[in-house]
Amino acid sequence: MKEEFAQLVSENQDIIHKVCNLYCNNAEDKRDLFQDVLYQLWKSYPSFRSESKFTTWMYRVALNTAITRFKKFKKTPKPEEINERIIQVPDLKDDVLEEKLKALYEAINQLSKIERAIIMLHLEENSYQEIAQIMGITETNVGVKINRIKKKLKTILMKQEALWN
Amino acid sequence: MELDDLKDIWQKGHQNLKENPQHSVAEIINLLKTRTLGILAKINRSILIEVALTLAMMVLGIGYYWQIPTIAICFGGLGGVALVHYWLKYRILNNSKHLAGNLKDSLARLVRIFGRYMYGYYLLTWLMLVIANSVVLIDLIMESNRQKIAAGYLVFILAILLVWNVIIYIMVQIYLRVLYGNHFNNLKKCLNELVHSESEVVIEP
Repeated sequence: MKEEFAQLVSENQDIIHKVCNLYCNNAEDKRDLFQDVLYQLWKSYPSFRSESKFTTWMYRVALNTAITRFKKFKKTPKPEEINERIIQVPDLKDDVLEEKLKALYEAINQLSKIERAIIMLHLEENSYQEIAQIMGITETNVGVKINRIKKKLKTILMKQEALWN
Repeated sequence: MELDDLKDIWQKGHQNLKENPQHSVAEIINLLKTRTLGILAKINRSILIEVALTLAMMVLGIGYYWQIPTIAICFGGLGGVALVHYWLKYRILNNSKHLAGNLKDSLARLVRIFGRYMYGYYLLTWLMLVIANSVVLIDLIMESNRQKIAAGYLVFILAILLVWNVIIYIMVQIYLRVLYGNHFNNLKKCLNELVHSESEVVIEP
């Protein structure tokens, strides 16, 4: 069962990496969260039934773990660690795309934890129904929230562009 | 940057994460075996140490006051309550059942358990103080029955007891606020964000 689980997780591990990128301040924290998510997935795996897609279940457990995670000591990230976080976007060959992705991550990091989860699920092409299932809210509410988040992101991104120009 | 481009940037930007996985199947299995680095494992280790210390104190206390059943029972009760407290703490941190459900239910469940835990902690502190004070006072009364105690000594002991109670109370307040208070408030904030927005939608026609 462990091999089967590891195979499934390995095929979809990008989900965990993206969640870690959204909720962690530095590389060490990201490593810890990756391991915590992996452990929670493994512990919850026996209760996974194929009623929902494996990826939907993975999003649910990963986001639950990241948002409800208990940090024993609140560590204020040092400036160099914040830079490290920004740099931690996937290593891309396209510099323009990398810059845009960094800007997007910076903008998303200014949102609340819940908003970050919703916009990530939206950017990942999950349907409103799937987002509603993961978050535990109605589809109508998902729509309302996505519109609000988009407006917020637009304002943040416009400020960023103004700063660059 | 236009909003319509966001999905495109997100997906193209993460394409290599999908195509070039960072961990192989073998590495994932290995990570599951060596998960002791995680914060949960560190807290669990702290709980185990605290349980061991409590048990040791309990055994020593009961052993020392074996001849005085009232005090020995106090130690037993105190240890028992402390062990229930650690069990609750362990349950909160390690209960993975909530993580497979939706986020709102998980948060509601955690906030409920955490609230009970914080309330229980306050109750436990008061109970511990009452028991500890009783032990000292019983000891003092028994001592006074054997020999006459000077009034100054009595006042000194009571003053120490009072200061000790105040220190313990303040330490518990700080401990709860710093260690669990922030986390509890963050959980409540997230839950409120989901519940509040839900009620907003219901009100809207």
